[in-house]
Amino acid sequence: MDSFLSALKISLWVATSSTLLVALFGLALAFVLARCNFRGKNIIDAVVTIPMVLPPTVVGYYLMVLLGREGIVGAPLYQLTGWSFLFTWQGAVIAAFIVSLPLMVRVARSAIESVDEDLIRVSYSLGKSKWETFVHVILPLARSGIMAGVVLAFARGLGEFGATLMIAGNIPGRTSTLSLSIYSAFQAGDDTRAGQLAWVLTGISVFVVYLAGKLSRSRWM
Amino acid sequence: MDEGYIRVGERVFFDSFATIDLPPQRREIGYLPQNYALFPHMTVRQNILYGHQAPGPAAEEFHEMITLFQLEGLENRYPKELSGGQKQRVALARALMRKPRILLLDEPLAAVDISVRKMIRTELKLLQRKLGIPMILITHDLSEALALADKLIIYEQGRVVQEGEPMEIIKHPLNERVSELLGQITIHTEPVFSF
Repeated sequence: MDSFLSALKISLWVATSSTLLVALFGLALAFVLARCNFRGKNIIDAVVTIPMVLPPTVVGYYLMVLLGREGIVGAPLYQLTGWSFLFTWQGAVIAAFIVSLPLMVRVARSAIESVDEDLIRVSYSLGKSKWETFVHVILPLARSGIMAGVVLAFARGLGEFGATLMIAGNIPGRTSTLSLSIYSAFQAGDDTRAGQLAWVLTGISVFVVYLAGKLSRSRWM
Repeated sequence: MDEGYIRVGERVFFDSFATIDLPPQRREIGYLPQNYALFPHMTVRQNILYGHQAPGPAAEEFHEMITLFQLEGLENRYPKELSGGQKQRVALARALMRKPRILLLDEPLAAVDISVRKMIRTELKLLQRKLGIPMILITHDLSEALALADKLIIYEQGRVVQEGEPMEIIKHPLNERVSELLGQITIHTEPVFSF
């Protein structure tokens, strides 16, 4: 029971932290991709989206190349602080962040793009800056889509397995999330436990996806 | 690359030679798009006051606008609860709250029922005379243009075909295309008597 509670706690903590990051960066990215035109936009779009289609192990591998003790960012970080993302909950957060970011960006971007261009033009003609227009017109009208993106990102973060296993490992009480505990229980031959954990995770996910559907219905049209 | 210049009075919005391109926020144009583009998540009051800087001293002007456009009692309604004509009046009030130098109307009557089109047409003309703000009105309906315009510019495929006062154009169409356009509508240049 204790290990179940700790796995649940780690799962919720990791998914919540990564969702906060995803909401922040994802919204900014979605806005830039939806409303700005610049060179290399398609490349950014592709880079953000690719973790959605790559096998999680491949994402995990790239994260190691980037954040591992000999990684591009990881090596100087380790030399400077003696700390690395490997086998930490922060590593799990990064893994969840990378795999759920594309969901948020896709959903939020299409919500932002669906805001009538004329409303934005009128807002400009009424003296409002791009930022004011974003806050007072785009954000409230795209809100349900943005919320749906956040909720989906949470669900994806909660279910993350492959990349998390590679970068954060599966350390009970520290990085062993619900999805990782299911794997451990199954490996140890404890099918009953694996089944129970699977049901809990399914329950949470169904609720979250239901919430996303409820949120994505617009009120104004 | 766009070439040429756009100015209202002494104010230059755009000049390709002097490389002036005023951002839309500073052009002081009242813009009325075809579908009126009311903010659907705001009430009539919030829509009209949207462009206003300080909400406090606006109360009196807001009241004037509501009265001028006969919107009393609709202040707390959302756009989806308004008729086409009401939407248009809210959009006009919203644009005029900014005291624009010029009003740009993109097919303002296209979305209105034919039965009330003539009435709104007259109202628009009266409003223009009352406020004295120059209006640029875009329309595909020549009879509407003839009824409303002090100066008429006929475009075809992005080029100016003829410009002048409506009467002048009716009497001296410059080419076949213009007479063809005029031929599609009935114009009474002489008084019509009926018994």
